[in-house]
Amino acid sequence: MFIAPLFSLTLLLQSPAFPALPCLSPEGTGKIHSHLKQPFGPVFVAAERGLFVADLEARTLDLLDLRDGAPRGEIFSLRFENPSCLQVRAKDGIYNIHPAWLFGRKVASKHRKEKEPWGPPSSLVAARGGSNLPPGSRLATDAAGRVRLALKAKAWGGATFRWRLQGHHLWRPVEQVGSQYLLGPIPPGRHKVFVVAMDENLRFSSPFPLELLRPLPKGLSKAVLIPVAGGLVLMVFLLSVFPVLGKGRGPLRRALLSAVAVSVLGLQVFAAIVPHAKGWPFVGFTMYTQTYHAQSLLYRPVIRALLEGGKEVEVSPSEGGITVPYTTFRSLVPLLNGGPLRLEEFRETLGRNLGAPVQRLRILAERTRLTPGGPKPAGALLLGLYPPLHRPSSPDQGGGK
Amino acid sequence: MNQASFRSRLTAYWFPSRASLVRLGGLRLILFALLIFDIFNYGQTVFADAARVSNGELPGPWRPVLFLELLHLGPPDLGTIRIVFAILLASACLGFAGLLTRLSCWVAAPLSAYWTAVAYAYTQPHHDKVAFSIALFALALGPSGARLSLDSLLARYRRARRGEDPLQVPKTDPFAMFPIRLIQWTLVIGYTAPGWSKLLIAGPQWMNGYTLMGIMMEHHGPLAPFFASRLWLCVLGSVLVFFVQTTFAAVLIWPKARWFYLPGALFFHTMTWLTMDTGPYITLWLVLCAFLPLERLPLVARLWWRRSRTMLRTLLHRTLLFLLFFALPAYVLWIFARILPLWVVLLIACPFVDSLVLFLRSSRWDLIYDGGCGICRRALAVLAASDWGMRLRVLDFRSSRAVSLRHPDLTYEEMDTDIHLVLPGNRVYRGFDAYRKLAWLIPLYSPLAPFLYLPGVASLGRKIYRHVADHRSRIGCGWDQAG
Repeated sequence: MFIAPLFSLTLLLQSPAFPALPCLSPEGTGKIHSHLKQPFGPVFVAAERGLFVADLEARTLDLLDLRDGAPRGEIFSLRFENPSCLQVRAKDGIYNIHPAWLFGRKVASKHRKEKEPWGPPSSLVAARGGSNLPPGSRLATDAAGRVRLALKAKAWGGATFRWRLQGHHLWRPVEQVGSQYLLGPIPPGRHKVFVVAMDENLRFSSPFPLELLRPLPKGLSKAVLIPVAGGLVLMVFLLSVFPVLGKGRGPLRRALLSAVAVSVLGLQVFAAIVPHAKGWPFVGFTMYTQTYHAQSLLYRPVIRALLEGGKEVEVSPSEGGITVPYTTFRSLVPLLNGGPLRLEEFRETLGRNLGAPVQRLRILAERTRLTPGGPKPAGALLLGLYPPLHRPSSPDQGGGK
Repeated sequence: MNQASFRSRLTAYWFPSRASLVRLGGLRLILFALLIFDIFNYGQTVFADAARVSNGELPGPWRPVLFLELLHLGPPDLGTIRIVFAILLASACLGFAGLLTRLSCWVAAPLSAYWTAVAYAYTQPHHDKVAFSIALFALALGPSGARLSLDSLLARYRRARRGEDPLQVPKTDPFAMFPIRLIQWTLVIGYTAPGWSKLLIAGPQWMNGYTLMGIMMEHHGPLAPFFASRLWLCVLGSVLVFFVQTTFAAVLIWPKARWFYLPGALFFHTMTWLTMDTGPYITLWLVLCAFLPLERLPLVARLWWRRSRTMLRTLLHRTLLFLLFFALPAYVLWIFARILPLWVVLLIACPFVDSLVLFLRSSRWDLIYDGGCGICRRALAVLAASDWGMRLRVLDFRSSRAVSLRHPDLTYEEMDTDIHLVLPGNRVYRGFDAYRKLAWLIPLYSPLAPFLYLPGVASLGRKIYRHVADHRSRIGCGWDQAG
């Protein structure tokens, strides 16, 4: 078992505390092997049933749902390779796990003791049909919303690739199919996406922008939908008006208004069935149709500002100059992916609005587990820290929002 | 049912011959007051976004809704937004006042849709303003300005000039119900579709309590921790939401069901505000007034104000009266005051509140005028159109026998010389003093009343009044010796 904290701020907590914390997972933790405090972040606990996070305020332990590339099952030990890389030892080897987004990569055994010869990954090169693509290229996807690309980058341990939609915070894995990569799926419409290369230590290259177009299903494309809807509306008007022609103004006015009513209500019902939001004010109504169950997990984004004197307060994006009504993950994208300049601007604006200089910003994802006794705090993950403890490895240095 | 019968029933449903114009006018007042609130409510975001566009940056990805895309309308800059704001606010104020009502509706409805769509283009479309946007267009399709409007006041004035009776006003119109029905159906789709979507997509599992618990915690309103920590409350809430939404169409079949569904919807939106931080959704639930028989509310208020046979019934009526006519409007005004300046809220509220108070009085005021005089008829047209509290009983001393029966102590010569206002207790006001008292009593003019008590105003007013009254046959007022 190895525990090798690299940072002076890394704090080891007293082991006997953990068995006393109630575990929110019904199966429990099993045997606890080790634990590690992330600087300004949560305490991770390696245990027989997986990787757990401890909420010391709520005094709970909760199992982390690790994502692609991360190990399954028992975790024996933990250490931070860099602020964005939690290294863990599992049964089948050593893995690097992103402590915020929980995806990971297995560390090739040959790299374990080697000294890294270079820094973060180089800018990636994307190619299609044998020719390199310039940044910002416009590409059409297939009907499923995917696009096939050749991607290359120089990265320690070999490059893997991730992508995200503009305005979205999650970096999703790019699927490898032979020598090519399958990016997507994206929702119908035109979307800007960013692709990054990731090295073994989970450091990202600068993002490579692309503009992807996924055509709507033929029946819902504007070329079909508008003439069909227009034709139907016209037919309704004609059917309403023809029978009353020559019968005076009253019946004609009634017929026209009836056609309006049928058209408006028809469009409403159609939008509700499809469902569709772009046709506002004719929209679908599928909001809040997801279901949760016992043990479902919720994430809530939170920005905390550390003020002089050690006081920490929760702030809203609007206090830092991001005009959104609520704190959502989407509203935090400019902070999570906007680079240090954007974060500094936010910190300065926030300081002015709070009337006190902000020492440090923490962006957290508070986790909540639903239980029969109500929702229980289940630890918060550190999504962003500014100023960082040392050079950040996060992507989008000045990249798009 | 044969085809002709079905068609006539359909016509009677959408175009009933005795549809109240006051009801449509009342709905117009509510919706345009709401529009003024909404312009300012969204204004901060729209102006901030436009300022960023003018500075050469986009506040976010521009994803316009379909109609903006079809019209090739891109992100607006600050100059464009200022022009839209000015025209929209002007048309909203005109629509509220009921001046050039149809034109105001046709200008306000598309501009309001544009205002909202611009705000949505940087984020995503929401549902709260679907019914409201369609309602503004619906108002343009009916005679929305025929009552409770400056248009109706001017129409009375013109009728009085033509020598017609200023008190004769249109009360019903076959096209007055159409906008109301269209709004009602839009609302029913807006409530029913989410209920059925939940049933078809999530299934009955949606009511397991955890779903509502999760939704509350995701949105985290101030009362979310209280409700979410009680699974049984979440189950109960889910069942209620599900029931109200899936069966909301019942209000179309059985109109009395509105007394369950409207408070249910109001409670639902208040709870989502408190537990999910959705905001008050006032744009949606005020549109629900389309289900209320607004023209009958004054009578209902007066009925509930009276003592009933039993103490319990009186208590019930007065509680309902308090909730419907005072607590609910106070709640609305409180929400308005969060966005609008206080003086604007008071300006919107005063006519409503004063009229509500007046509705409750059982006494009436007799206004005795000279029906043969054009100036008097025109003045009466204006006064009668402004009498939203329905307190004035206007009597022409030349043609009404009721005058001599009710007020035997007033002589013909006196009534021929001055206009008279007789209040309960036989308090009589004449000439300028009658007009000054009316300014106090009629809510629309009460802001003017204090000025009429300034030093010198009364003596000047009395002189002007005397001059006009004494020379009304010579100053071309259309006076004729009808008596």
